[in-house]
Amino acid sequence: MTTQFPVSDGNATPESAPAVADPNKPLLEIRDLQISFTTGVGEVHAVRGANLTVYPGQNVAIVGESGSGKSTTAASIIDLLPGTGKVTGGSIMFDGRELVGAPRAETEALRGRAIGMVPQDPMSNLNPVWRIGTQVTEALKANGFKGSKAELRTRVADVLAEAGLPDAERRARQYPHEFSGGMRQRALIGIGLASRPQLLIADEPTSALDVTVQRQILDHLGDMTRDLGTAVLFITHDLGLAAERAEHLVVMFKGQVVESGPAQQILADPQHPYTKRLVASAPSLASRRIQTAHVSGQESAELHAHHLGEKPPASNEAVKVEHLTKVFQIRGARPGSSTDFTAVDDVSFTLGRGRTLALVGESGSGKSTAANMVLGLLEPTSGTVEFDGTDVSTLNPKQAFAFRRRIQPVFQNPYGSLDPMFSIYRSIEEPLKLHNVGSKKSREKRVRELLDMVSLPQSAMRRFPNELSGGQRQRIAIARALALKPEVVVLDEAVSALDVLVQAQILDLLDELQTDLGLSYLFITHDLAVVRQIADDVVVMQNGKVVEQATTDEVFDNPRQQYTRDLLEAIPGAHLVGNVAGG
Amino acid sequence: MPENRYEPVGRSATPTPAPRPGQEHFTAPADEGGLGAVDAVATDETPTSLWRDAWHQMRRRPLFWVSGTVIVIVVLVAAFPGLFTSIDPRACDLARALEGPQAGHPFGFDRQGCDIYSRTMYGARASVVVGVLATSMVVILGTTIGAIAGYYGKWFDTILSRITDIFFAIPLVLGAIVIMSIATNRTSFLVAFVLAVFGWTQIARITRGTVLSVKNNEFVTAAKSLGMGRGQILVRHVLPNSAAPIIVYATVALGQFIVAEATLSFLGIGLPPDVVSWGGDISAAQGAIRTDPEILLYPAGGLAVTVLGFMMMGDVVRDALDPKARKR
Repeated sequence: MTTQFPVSDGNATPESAPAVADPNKPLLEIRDLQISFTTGVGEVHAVRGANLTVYPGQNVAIVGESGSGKSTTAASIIDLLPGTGKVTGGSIMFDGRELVGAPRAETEALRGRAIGMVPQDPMSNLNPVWRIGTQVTEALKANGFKGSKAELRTRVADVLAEAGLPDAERRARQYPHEFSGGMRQRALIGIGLASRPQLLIADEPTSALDVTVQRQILDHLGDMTRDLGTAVLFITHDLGLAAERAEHLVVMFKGQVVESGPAQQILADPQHPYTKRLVASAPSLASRRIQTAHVSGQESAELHAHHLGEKPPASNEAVKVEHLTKVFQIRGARPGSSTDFTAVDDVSFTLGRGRTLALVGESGSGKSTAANMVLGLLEPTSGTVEFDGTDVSTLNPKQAFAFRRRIQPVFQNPYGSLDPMFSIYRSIEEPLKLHNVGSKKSREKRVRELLDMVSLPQSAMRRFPNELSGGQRQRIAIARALALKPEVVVLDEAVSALDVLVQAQILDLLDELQTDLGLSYLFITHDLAVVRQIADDVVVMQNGKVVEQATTDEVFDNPRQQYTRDLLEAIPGAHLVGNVAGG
Repeated sequence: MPENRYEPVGRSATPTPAPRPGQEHFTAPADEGGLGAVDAVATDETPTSLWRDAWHQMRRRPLFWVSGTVIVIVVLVAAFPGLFTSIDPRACDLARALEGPQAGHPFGFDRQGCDIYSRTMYGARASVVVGVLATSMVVILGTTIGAIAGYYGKWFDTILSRITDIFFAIPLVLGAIVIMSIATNRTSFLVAFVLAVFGWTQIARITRGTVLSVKNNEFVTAAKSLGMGRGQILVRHVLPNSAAPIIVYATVALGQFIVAEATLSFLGIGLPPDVVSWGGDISAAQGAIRTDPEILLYPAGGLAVTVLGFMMMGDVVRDALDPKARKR
């Protein structure tokens, strides 16, 4: 790995102060870039004719959904294309040098030194068996740091301190598992900027983090790169984040740049149909709840009764949770010893019939634990879950089995929630079979009906999950949840893993289904932007406790608690809403 | 506006400056038809059940036909050796010892003057029976114990894992020597049983590990919230998803057991000397390996072809049962 960097030595760039380049000369200029991958079925053109310009010290964002070629474009700049990827045409000029077809030693010399990289996943991008300090040291050494051991140690502490890690010297001796996700990402940003590159590529730098942490980290990254005069190329799927952090946007779709230009202009006046859709469906920019077709609980209750063909329900409260508490015992250091951890602490809320209640909080706030107790998958330590007026814990096994039909979950990960060995047909039929609903024939009819309901072609039932996209799998998961005609659906981060356009489609679908079938949703999410689109009422949770509880409009227009305000502040692009509403 | 670019764009009061060269507003011509297809499904009707799909998949792979043919031939030979040779493998003539191939005796004769071709044909039965029996027993025993330990966890896991560790610590040959030396009637079944008793631990560990990782999937939670019982989930969801490494190990184990039978026979505690087996012939040939290697070649070749056939079949089956590995 250690090269002698003949190229950068030849270039008159001083060791520690980059970005003295002419500010009006492009730092990075990509022209007509073509990238293709060789696969079993032939060539796949991942990037087709992309153009991109970055000036020194500027922030540019590439926006696009997964598979749009945005990461591939970024990877090609530092010649780190995965697998069989190859640049087949076009040019990448960096600081006046052509990178396409440059010898390996040359691109290797650029990496880290002139072009830094902040990877997407802080969990897997630090080596778990090395101390943080060692990993920073390695990065410094690989990029030609020359100095004594003591100097190196001070430099490592400086790098971490710059990245916003307090008590840096002690932190340097810790291992990655002792860091939280946000701290790891800070360390990675420190490593990326350690050698004072002219350009930093940040590939979804915060998509794995909580919104409030995301905001802190991006703010810090912004301050740092501004002070250092580093240009930043953001890769993101989040239009709001891109518009907030960059002045120039490049929108990619299916390997092509469909629109590029000043961020404000693109946001206010998108030209290309894809960009229009993207702007329209970006949750952080959308103004109000979708449709709001159900006017009152009364109306949907009637609908519901009709749908079930049964007597109208006993109460207008689908789920009522009172003083719910869950204590986990965490194994202590010595065998036999244990400490109590209260994951959910005295939580009460009510989900009205035909309404949507959002449980909002960051990771570790106890929202999923609460949901699992509502689903009956976890025993509460104390407190009650009432379903349609009946305390769930008093049910005998037979009644409990019947209760399962009336409340169904949809999970976050569309890749994990369907059994890969089951065809789509079997996946959707399984609940019907398990509860002995109908004959084989009528079950097949019902599966076809459900596929129609979630807007998938009936022929999809012959497929296996791996042949479908994330959005399609989530539709299947919804169809499976609806198979038994439940009254309540618990959506545990059900749209968090999806691209914005697909997310918007699924949210629309959920809303339609709610109107048609009178469903009640318990919507678990960390994303307040989505809450605004779908929920009627909001419960904000922090560290297992409910901190605020009100209707959606109240929470958004008049948040009472500081924590809620922080969450709202942290929505990327939240400030841009007013701007966009006109356009 | 480089000085205030960290301000949210929307709030900046200054008018947008003219874009710099290369950053003018650019709009691509509208794409033909590409946009609506964001969430479309590939649609065509194809067979539905897992097994039928697996069959369609296997059918197209040459490896399936090659390994299938090998296995059918080996099984035929094992079942009806008389169809392939009319010479009695036990009718030996010391006068013809170590004679080379000749008409009617294509593989020549071994040190005892027995016909090698005939012995190779008749030897298939004992070896294949021991191998297949031992492997089946190991798969059943190991999968059951591993799955229960991994799936139910807690004290099931503690107890079963310790038992596995204890058996793991006993060397196969040593354990077999102890049991076989006290056995009076040494049949193929007994040999297979002894091999299985000391050989199931590896597969139990593999199963436990895979089950542990599969049971944390969300589709398991989904099944739970449907009201499905734990046993049902184990059988319907967890085990099928854990099958791949078990199949791979089982095919490797088959070969190992055939060889282990040979080891026991070589030590004189395997099958009785009057039973013709590849293992016995391989060990008998060892003494002459430097002078007459061809004696070793034929039984060893039979063993190799059998093991190879089962291993290739295992690979094909594993790929076909895994929807992720399927190519359309």
